[in-house]
Amino acid sequence: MNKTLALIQKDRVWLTIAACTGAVACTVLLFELRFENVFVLPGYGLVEGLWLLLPLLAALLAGFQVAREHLSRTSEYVRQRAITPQHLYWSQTVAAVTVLLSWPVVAVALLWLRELVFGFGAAGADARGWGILAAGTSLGLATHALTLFVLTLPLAWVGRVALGILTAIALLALQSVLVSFEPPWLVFALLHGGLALALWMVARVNSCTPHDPDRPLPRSLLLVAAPLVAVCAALFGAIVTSSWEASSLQRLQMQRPWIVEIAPDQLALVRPVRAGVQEILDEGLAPTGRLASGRSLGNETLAPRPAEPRFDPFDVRSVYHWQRNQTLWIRGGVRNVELTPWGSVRIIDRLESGRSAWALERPGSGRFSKRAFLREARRFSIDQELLFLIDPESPGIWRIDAETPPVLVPLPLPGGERPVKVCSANLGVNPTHTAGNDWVDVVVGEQHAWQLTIDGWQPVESSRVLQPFTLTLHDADPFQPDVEVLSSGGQRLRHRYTLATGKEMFLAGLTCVGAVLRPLPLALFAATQDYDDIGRSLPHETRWLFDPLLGGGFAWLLAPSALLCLLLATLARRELRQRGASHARANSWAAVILVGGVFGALVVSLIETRRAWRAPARSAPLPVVIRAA
Amino acid sequence: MTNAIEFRGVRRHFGQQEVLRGLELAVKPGEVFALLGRNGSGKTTALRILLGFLKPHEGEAFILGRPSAALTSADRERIGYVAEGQHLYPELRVCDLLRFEAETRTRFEPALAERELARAGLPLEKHVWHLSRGQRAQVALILVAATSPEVLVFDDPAMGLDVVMRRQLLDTLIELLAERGCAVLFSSHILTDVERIADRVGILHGGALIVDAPLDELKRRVQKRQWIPRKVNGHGAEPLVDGLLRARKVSEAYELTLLDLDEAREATLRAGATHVSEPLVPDLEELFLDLTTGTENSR
Repeated sequence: MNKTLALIQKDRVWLTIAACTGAVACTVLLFELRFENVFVLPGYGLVEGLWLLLPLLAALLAGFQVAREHLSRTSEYVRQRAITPQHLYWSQTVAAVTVLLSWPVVAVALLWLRELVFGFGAAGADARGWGILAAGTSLGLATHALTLFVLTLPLAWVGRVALGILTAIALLALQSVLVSFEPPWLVFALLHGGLALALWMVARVNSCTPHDPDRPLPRSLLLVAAPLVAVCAALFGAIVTSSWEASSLQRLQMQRPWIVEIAPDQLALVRPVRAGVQEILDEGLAPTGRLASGRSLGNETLAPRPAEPRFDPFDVRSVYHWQRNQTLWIRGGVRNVELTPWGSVRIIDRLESGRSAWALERPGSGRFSKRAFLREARRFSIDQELLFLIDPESPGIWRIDAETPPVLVPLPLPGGERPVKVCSANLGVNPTHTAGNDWVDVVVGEQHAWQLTIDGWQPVESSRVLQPFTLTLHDADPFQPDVEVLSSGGQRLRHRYTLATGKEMFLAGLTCVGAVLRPLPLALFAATQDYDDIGRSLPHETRWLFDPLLGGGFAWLLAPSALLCLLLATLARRELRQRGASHARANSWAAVILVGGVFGALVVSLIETRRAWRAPARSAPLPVVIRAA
Repeated sequence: MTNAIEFRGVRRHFGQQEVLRGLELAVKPGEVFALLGRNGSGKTTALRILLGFLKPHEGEAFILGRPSAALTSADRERIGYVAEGQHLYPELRVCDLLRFEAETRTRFEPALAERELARAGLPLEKHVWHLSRGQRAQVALILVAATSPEVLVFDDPAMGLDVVMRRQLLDTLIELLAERGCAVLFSSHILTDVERIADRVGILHGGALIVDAPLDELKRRVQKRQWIPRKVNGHGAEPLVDGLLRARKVSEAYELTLLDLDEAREATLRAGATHVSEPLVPDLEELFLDLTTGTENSR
């Protein structure tokens, strides 16, 4: 037995406990998710479940790894032997990683054994299932490495926690961008594995550098810490300021008068008085004293929303329709229908007689678009339900019913009409009396509205269809939008909003503060992007990279943003120089602040503490009273 | 001869508190040095700096001629250390600890350790958490002794040991190792042990070593006298003499602790007194109290 094994063996009790706990948790999770959702036709639940559980367990494992010698107060006992700190660190890390890897392996093995006897057995082995497992495990490894990196930072605990949160959010931000490109699971796993390796290496340096609160960060660590802090602070800052601005803008819009259809042919600007009742305003936005109620144009549509093009909510391309999972009652059980992120329809029947799974491709072109969605048609009997699937990109409609094996039956609108909207229609009388709701979903084509019945599409009178407002933004200014609304009765109302009240001005100011605090490099980038256009070309997950003000006509906010960064960097540099820091160190942190802005400055203040640079007044040692003659 | 242990102007502070103020100390091979001091005087800090677990803010410490900050794993093999509290892995059995020591220390002698454990009546199959505090201390000391170190550093090794164990184990081990030429540096609060074991004593006070001398020399040079001052105009004089370490007033008289009292100084002392008692040799505890609780002015 060599030293490494001896070091691992001394921890065998704790490692066994960790291995068993994690394996049980993973096994329970995979059993809960069900075999077919893991290996036959992988579902989203698997991704979400693994991504929640494994990182959590991995973080706990890393926490234990760091605390292990401290808890038994044996840090010095274990160091005082022929073992280098690096050897000790890598032995502990290898043991922890082995435990972590054993969790999914044990859980999967148990799941397979059970299925070989009772279920799908070796028949189901979708490569994507393995890919998702590998990606989930790699995320666990990355979380372990990140936690280890954070907990071993040679900083005070407040600094470690702050830098940990900063790094974790920055990595999540990068991950959101990565996910938006839909990389294969293997790429995802490799990237996270690489990240984990890099973080373990840095954590090794950290763990061999004892924290001394009375000394500045060692120069060797500064070379690693400064660029890392700069990047993380910039990403963190972009996320925070983006949320700040979105929240302020939304609150501003909700403060404003509403546009309400008070009669089929009449639109008015109102202020809400109480639930469902509004007071009508005149053209100067002064209250008229007249009360009314009616359908309101959602004020949130006034705020710039780059994540989604300004489709009206009923448009088939609108995000409001994104229902991608539906369960049907069929004879003898249930049928789960899911539109997968990889563009197929996943159907799993869970019947008393057994389970079956199918993956249906889009007839012809192979993949359904990301905007495809499922809708339930009116129920005809307790075990006879109909689903229809609409793909707004390269338009098409398909029916999914209770047949076995399931098929996608093309269901074009009569006359070859293209589906334009999905609306609600009040049919007045429920023909089957199986449900008390008279409102049903109808598909509005270019000319007519249609309801899906057991016999196919049936026309619906247009007067029964709830018609949406049509909103036109003549000027998409974030604070003073010029809007025109067309009511269902054909009436138009055009209004340019202004910052009319003190509260609106305050909220606008708050939004501007968010834009000014955005880290400079990302602010510069955002200023070059037209915020109104990006939603059409970029996925929702990357929205934090862009700025509704800087990219919406307020690029001048870059000037105060740059001034603020310069000021903070100059002050920090001067302060550090006064404390005794070298030119190189002071310049490094100043550069970090220029990149990370206020967020960078906060982290620098946590790293370069006053205490680290302030030595007590030197006092002369007491004289030796008795010395050997 | 190269010193086995050496501190050269070591300074260390925690926040605004200066714990070590230019510590100077040297221990020769084969010498047993006792580091004394009140709680918080910096003993543990000094020992941790010596072993490279803590960096000094100024100065340097050396052990076996190597700077403490650059000790290699091979150097650590030659050094035995038992930290304050003698912490071991509680979930391991004693035999597991022996195996662990054997795998991670090339100089470890399992036979020696087993023999000493058996002599102390410590069962190998028992888990550490089932051992009493004293038994744990014994295990820790035996494990260190079985590595045949060239330098032994103990931070309060007698903590948790009863009188019998201290005599049987601690004294025996330290003397055995010292005979083999091992330098021993230990801190302790039990001054009777120190008097029995140590060759040399250092008292750490105010972050510096205020006493650094062999024990017998200390006893030879320091003495206590009772001194009753002569009254002038109804007021008694104050004892003013070179070498006065401490003057404690007891009723009308003073209890004086004096260093290197020669004839001339004694004459000065007698000149201002109605009575001066015969010299008494203070024990280490009294000397420690005199030096660490008296006002600095009195020195």
